[in-house]
Amino acid sequence: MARNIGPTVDILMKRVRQAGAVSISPDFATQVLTIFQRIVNISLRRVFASETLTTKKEKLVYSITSDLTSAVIITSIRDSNDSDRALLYCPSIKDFSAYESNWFRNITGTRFEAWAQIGQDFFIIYPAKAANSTVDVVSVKATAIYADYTAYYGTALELPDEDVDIALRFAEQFLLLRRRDYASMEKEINELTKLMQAKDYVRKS
Amino acid sequence: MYAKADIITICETLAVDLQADDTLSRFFDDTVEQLGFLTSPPFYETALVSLTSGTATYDFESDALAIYHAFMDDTLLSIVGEDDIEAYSKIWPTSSGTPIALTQDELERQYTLYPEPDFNSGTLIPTHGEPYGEDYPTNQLFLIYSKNRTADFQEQFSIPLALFSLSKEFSTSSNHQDREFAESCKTFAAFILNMIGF
Repeated sequence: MARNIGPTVDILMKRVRQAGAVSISPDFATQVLTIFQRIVNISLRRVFASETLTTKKEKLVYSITSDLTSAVIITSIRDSNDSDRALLYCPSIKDFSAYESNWFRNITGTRFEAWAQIGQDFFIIYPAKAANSTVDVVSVKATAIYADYTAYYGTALELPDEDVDIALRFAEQFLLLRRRDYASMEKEINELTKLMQAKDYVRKS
Repeated sequence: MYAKADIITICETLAVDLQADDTLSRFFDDTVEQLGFLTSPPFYETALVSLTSGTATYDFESDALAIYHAFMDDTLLSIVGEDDIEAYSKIWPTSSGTPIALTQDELERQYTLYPEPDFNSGTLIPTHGEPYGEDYPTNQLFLIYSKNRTADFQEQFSIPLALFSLSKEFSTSSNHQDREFAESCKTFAAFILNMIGF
């Protein structure tokens, strides 16, 4: 059962409470928690999004922020018009040269072959087709960011329950920077580093 | 997406408003610039550039930090230093033809094509609203460069950008200097940046 934002923010607020100090607002805590939810999701790759992209005639370069709605890191692209075939991932756009040296403007493709992501903003699907088409893009989801405690109190967090606590611990350490309690923060960050490495190991194995 | 002002607000909350606003703003800009010079920077932009016959050197786009890829028609240009250009030709400053390589000077904010183009670029006619698709003009230079931005930050970057900016702000000599806080911010920021793949 998913954990809701409001009760999780309540826990966060209790953890960072400091007697005699100016407290943080629940809205700010909500904002920080949901940002860390996204950061943990990017790192652990827990929540994915799938969407259909209409590819345009003769076009290779697409914008992640404009052409897709909720993607951070693309994990696979499939050609739904060709038995849901997965396109090959190229770590660098230079890898497209393995197909043909003039890949950038050779618009004769009838079958998508490969894709590459450029930073956080763009991706390329090779080759460009001579007509509009569609592909299915699967990506690590940009989980929602909220900054209104009251409005989203009953909204469910998107991370699985077992990972919510990691986001909570990161948010706590971030907010505790205000208290300047560096010794305990350093210990907790070391613990979180080990935890993230262990989780990453489990994910990859 | 967050604008610079949204991330500065996060900084102010974390710093309990001890910061100096003008220097924090400058340090934020510095941080974004530094990210733009990483081996794999997070923020990119693209541009089509019209070339003029006989002109080899062009100014950077106004928001460009460094050029990472450049295409002349269907050729991926080599981005090299001037010494390497001599490997192509000893008389490279006077050569002309279709560019195959590019040198860049990030300080002068200019780049030079080799060989110097001997043609004028075609005009972009936005018939279909797809400059990188059906409307792609002939003989134009296509650039992919790291971008210096003040808006459109994906929210996951707000934490490392805020922490790196605070680190600079509180390590600088001032009446609110706090080296320990600055160091903690820097360590935390690097950790988060690593978590999101940079």
